[in-house]
Amino acid sequence: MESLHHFISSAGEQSQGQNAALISFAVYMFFVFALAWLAGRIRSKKEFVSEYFLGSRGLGVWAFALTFAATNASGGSFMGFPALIYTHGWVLALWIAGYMIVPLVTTGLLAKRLNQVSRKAKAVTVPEILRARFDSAAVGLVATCLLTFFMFFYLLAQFKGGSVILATLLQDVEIFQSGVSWVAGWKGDFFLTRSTDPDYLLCLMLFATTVIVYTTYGGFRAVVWTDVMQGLVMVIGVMIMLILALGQVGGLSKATEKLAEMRPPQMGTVTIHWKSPLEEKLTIQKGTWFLSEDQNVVRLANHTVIQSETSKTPELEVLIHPDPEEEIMDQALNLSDWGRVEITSVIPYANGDGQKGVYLTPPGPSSKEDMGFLSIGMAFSFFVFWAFGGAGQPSNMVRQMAFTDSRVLKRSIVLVSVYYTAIYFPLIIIFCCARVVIPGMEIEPDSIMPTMARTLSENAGMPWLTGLIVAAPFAAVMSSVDSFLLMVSSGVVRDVYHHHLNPNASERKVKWLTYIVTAVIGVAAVMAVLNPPQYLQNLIVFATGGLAGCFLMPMALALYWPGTTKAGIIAGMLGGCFTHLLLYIAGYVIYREFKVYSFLNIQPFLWDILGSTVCAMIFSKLTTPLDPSIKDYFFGKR
Amino acid sequence: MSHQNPKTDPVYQNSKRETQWILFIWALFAIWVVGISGWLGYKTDPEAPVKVVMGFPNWVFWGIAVPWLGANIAICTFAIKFMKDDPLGDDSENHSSNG
Repeated sequence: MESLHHFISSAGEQSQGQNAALISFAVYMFFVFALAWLAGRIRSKKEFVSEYFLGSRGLGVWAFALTFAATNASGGSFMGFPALIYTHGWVLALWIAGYMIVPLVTTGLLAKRLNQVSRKAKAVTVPEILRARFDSAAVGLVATCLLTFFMFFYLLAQFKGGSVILATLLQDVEIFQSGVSWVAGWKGDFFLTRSTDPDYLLCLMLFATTVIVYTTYGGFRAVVWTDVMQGLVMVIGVMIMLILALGQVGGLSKATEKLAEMRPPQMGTVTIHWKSPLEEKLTIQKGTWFLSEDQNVVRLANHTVIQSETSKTPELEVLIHPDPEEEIMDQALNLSDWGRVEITSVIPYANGDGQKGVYLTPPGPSSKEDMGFLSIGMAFSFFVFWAFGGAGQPSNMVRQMAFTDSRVLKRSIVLVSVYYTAIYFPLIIIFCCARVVIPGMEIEPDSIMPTMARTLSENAGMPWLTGLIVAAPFAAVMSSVDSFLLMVSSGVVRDVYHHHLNPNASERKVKWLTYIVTAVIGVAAVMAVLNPPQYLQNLIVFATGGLAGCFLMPMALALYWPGTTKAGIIAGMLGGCFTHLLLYIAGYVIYREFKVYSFLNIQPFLWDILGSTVCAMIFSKLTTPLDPSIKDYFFGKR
Repeated sequence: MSHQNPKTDPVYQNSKRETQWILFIWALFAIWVVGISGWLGYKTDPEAPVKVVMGFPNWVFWGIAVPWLGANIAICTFAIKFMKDDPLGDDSENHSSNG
């Protein structure tokens, strides 16, 4: 039985060059801290509130464009999106196509007017603009509550994303494994960490400490400067991956040709029957390939420990590869000397099962949906959602308050447009190639980005490149987390404490409270993701949809419709929020899980917008108009 | 060129007009992308060979890649040629400790 252990463990040999990856990643982190330190030095010479929360409204073209682009490209763009491309193929080009027009809609729709009104209102946060525009503390308070509520959910998802990426990067590094053993030694002593994976916990601590420290110390300017660097890292990482991917698959035509021949895999279960009971415990790594008794190639979906004295395993989840290439056949372990692998159940794809060509055409294969991944109606809904959902994000609105003049805005729109083209379109090509380079990743699609980065770098004989490439999704997560952390803390300190609880607070007091609140919110988010909820991608969708539903139409009406009233704007925000929550409640009732209900198969965001608009307009028509002097101040020529 | 109300803020008026153009450009590309992709992509029999243009499935080339390029050109032209250089006001903000 010794040889069985050796036979199975030899299949999970580690890749090389992780120390080199660690060094290039450490260099990246050094620059992040250096920029935060510099930003902190500049901030200490300026007035605190405006500088800390808005960088003294001094963003130039590169700073505005890249902080805008980097904040929008969150962990979802570099983790969830590649996973979807890998799983469903070219149809993701249609799913993401709205990004071709995102730079114009998200920056052009509100930016100029928002910047002007924020200057008139002397506002540094989104709730402050609404508060001043309607001369109402209640409007500001409702906006702060909604913003803090939804933003916190987003923070949770990003903290988890950052930790997962870090764990993938460091998993084979010796010093990291020592750290994991150290964490494993004490984590059981604490109630909250008892069931947390030690490697995840260590990465969460590293990631959270980094982001909380540099955001707390450096404020908005640090966030923007690191965003600029992170934005550049992202585009460089994507370009390197594109070149390596196309080179290694033999060009785009070759990749498309191979995709055309692919059929979706099946999920299922196997039982391994041993010829004689195991003498000792056996560990099999997740992702190990096996040859079943009927010559099918299957891939283990979970890390598995098999107890001794057993003659067969329980049912193990596997992926069944329909068309394994020679390389996979060579990797697959044949256990015939020790027993047999029996496939006990097979779950075919609901759409596309057994069909070739489904990875090239819409609606794309789907394991759950009969109609495929993307119906034409949903394709249109996403074209609306990406553009207008982005315009409604308060994190974007804050950046639109911070640019210097309209010339900066115009040039930034051009730069963001080119930037998104250089990020999103290549990502589709890279991860269509990933299906060809790395088969069987459906068992863990969310880790396709770091896995692809490692595979491409190692195949190219440059393992140190992994650190630089993986820094791209890490940068994306970081640039989103820091922005949201600052938005939540600004909401609490500026909009609640400074405006409502202690308007006469000294600058020193506000400054220290800001530091403390930023750190406390960061720590609270860490505590909340110690045992992360299962549906984190759903949390992101919940938070972004909710924010856009609550803020897009109210802000648009506040900027462009003089007839909006206090009651109208509050009704608009709450109308969007309630519609959003209602669709989630309906989703829970129907699916019995945390999932939104797409009424009439239309993107739920559109219903949120409709609910928000109808409420805002009806209440504005029915309630007392604003004082004419306020209208004149914001809409009249001065 | 425009019939601006002399009493209305010109930045507001220009922003409103630009917003209308942005919505028009968005709608144009939405129709192009969803229309062409729907026409060339969804009608295809998955088992039938897919036409390939420069390595892309043909619906991706005509329905995504070409409009993406077109959108970049439209965005650059709009931003550089049509958007007004409006003065956004002085940032006279001087938040004291009293906020």
